[in-house]
Amino acid sequence: MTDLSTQVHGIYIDAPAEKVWEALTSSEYTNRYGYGGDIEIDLRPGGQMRHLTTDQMKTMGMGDVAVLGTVVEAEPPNKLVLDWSAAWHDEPPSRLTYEITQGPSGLTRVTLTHELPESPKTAQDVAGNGKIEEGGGGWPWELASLKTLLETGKPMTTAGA
Amino acid sequence: MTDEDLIFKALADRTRRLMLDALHEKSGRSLSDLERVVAGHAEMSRFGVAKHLKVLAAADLVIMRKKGREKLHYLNPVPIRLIHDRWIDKYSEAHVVSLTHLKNISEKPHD
Repeated sequence: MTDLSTQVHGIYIDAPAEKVWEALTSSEYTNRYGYGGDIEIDLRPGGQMRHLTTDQMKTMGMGDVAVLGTVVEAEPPNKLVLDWSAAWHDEPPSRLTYEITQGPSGLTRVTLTHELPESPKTAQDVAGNGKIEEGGGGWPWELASLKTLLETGKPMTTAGA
Repeated sequence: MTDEDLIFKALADRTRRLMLDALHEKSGRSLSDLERVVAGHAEMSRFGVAKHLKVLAAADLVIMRKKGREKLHYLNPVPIRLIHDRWIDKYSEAHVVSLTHLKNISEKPHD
């Protein structure tokens, strides 16, 4: 069986680190890439994070919240650490770390580390299974669509699905 | 070389694909661990395995992380996703469309 307890996902995005930070933490952006939905986040240690569901997720039977989190560390625009729980599984919170570093060429490196030693079902979902249409894109797809949005200004056609 | 060149070059080697498969099965492996995996299939020095890791890292398919005193290597699936979006989707979609078309033609009632 595949061990997904620690996942590392890295991507280069041709955008300033500040813009990547904004895209991760403001609803203006979160609705236009990945799974979509508003985000509410209190960017200080102990602050709450709620990633809300889209209308489509609600028709699939989900409640108001897709992901619930607590801010562990917020260092704009370079580091964001969260205790992160998927609302669709009853599992202990996992640890999600975004490291955002802009290089001299202007490219920004985003490295997402997700540690989920006690949340195997969540781990499987966020790793992605390639079935994009069924919502199985996971982090690789989410990050690819973030890159597309920030580099082209266009949301991916499946955003919010 | 472009990013894409680096990825295809990295994938164009059996030992490197073996290493990626091992990291897919269990990510976060040390060099010694990967050496053992490779040793089961081919004769290769530690230096040889390290060299392959370097190629995989240059293609961003492997990310190295320090954990205490140990250096661990993690599979990065994102570049594969990007290659998939750029290359695979495009062609497989065409196949699906033409097969659907064929199905429609062949299933049309003959009159």
